[in-house]
Amino acid sequence: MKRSLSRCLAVSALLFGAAALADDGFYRPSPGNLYVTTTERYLYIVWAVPQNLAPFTHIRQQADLEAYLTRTAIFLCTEHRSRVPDASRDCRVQLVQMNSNDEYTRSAAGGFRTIARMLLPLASATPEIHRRVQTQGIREVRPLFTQFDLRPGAIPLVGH
Amino acid sequence: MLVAEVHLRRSIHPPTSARFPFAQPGLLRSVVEVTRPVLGLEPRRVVVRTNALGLRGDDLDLADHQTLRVVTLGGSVTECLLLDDADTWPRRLQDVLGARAHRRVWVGNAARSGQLTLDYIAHARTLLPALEPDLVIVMSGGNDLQAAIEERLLPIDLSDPTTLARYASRLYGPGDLDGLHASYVTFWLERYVSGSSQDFAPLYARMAQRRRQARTLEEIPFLTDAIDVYRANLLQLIAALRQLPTHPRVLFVTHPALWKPDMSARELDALWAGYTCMQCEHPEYYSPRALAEALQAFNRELLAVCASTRVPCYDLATHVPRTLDTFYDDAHLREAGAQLVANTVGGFVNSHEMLNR
Repeated sequence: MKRSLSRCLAVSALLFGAAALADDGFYRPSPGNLYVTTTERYLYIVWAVPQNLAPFTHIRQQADLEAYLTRTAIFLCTEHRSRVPDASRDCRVQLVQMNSNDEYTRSAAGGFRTIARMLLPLASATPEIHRRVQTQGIREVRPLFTQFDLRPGAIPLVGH
Repeated sequence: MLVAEVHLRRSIHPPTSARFPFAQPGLLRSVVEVTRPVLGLEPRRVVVRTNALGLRGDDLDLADHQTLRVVTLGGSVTECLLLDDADTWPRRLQDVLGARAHRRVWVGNAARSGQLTLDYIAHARTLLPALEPDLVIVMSGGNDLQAAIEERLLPIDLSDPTTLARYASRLYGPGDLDGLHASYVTFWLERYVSGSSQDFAPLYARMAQRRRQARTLEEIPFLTDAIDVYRANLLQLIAALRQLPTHPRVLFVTHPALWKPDMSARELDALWAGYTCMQCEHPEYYSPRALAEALQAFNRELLAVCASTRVPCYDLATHVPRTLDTFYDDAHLREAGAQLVANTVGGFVNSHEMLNR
């Protein structure tokens, strides 16, 4: 009994570890949950998450959540920075929560609300910086952003 | 019966294309009521109809290319839901333009409550090619501002066909005209009898009360961002309108509203918009001063975009008095306001010879 329990725990730890590795410390939204375009001031990225906030359910600490969001924002800005010719613009990432668990492109008419707005100078959206911050916490990553506005309580964490 | 059938078949012309994008079902008839005084409105009962193209306006045969076609895009201020068909500003504009034209002028009102510039881009890419207008008039900005306040004003690239198809799927539906061909008279009678009726008084009373009880905010956050997004969407719209195969003339008009810094108690009682969220339990509301300044910023941006792209723009907002004689709430027009808008916009179109083709 004791042995099977410890085996079960070991398997769980392995699975959890595998999930964390696959996670890479940031999130890759599906194409249906992502709108990328340019405005006069910004590379503008709209990142939609379902009502159940599925991308964040594995996160337990507020600092981890904020680091996860900022690392994802850097990933998205880096991924799409070729859309703007120069690096003088900023990258605006607007995180919206849908009123359903469907993708943004299918259910935007059903309503959504903004839960975070982040602003990153494009100069900070490089593959090198993205690689560097993958293991860093919010204290290291936050200074890269000129704005990080996460609405209080917008993403309730399990255990809080 | 036979005479009626012949008459209806001569005047009603559903589109022949099975892929026609209906913004609303065709040949609808609904009754809109306000059963008690609310906002700046006296009790009323108005009839709202759509033609066989799913637009508010007279019937039009798409095969008739002798008629000068004007299409209006906008939100509820252009839709004029609480005005009778004959009293809407687009319908009255038809009379103003028709009085000066040598040919029949038709104005089709494609505006819908809540629609904003992104929706007009979709219309420019989907609906307008089917309507082949000679002139497109756009009243934008009002719902873009409300969306900005609710932080749901986004730039979306609708030049991408996949994105456009997904976006447009929520704007268009079937015309629901399947039963028409069997008998126009029966179909018309069925629609006449089964037409819906809705009383807006309870909704408006609730909304106005909610506004009076809520906390008032003075500064709209992220307004610079919102204007940036509005500019991007306007530029997209102009590009889409310029790609229309029939090369219609285009006129933008700035958005009028009742909002101003100093409002009387009666005027304040007429307000219900400017909320931070529609569905939440405790919405907050922006002050009339904040809303007036923000709408002015949106209107200024429209004028700037028009100037930089050389698209005709008429600063309508400066010609509409901010009084309850013109508006019955934040921005919706009474009959007198609708006539004023029709006269001034029509005067601009006529004086700039925008319908001479």
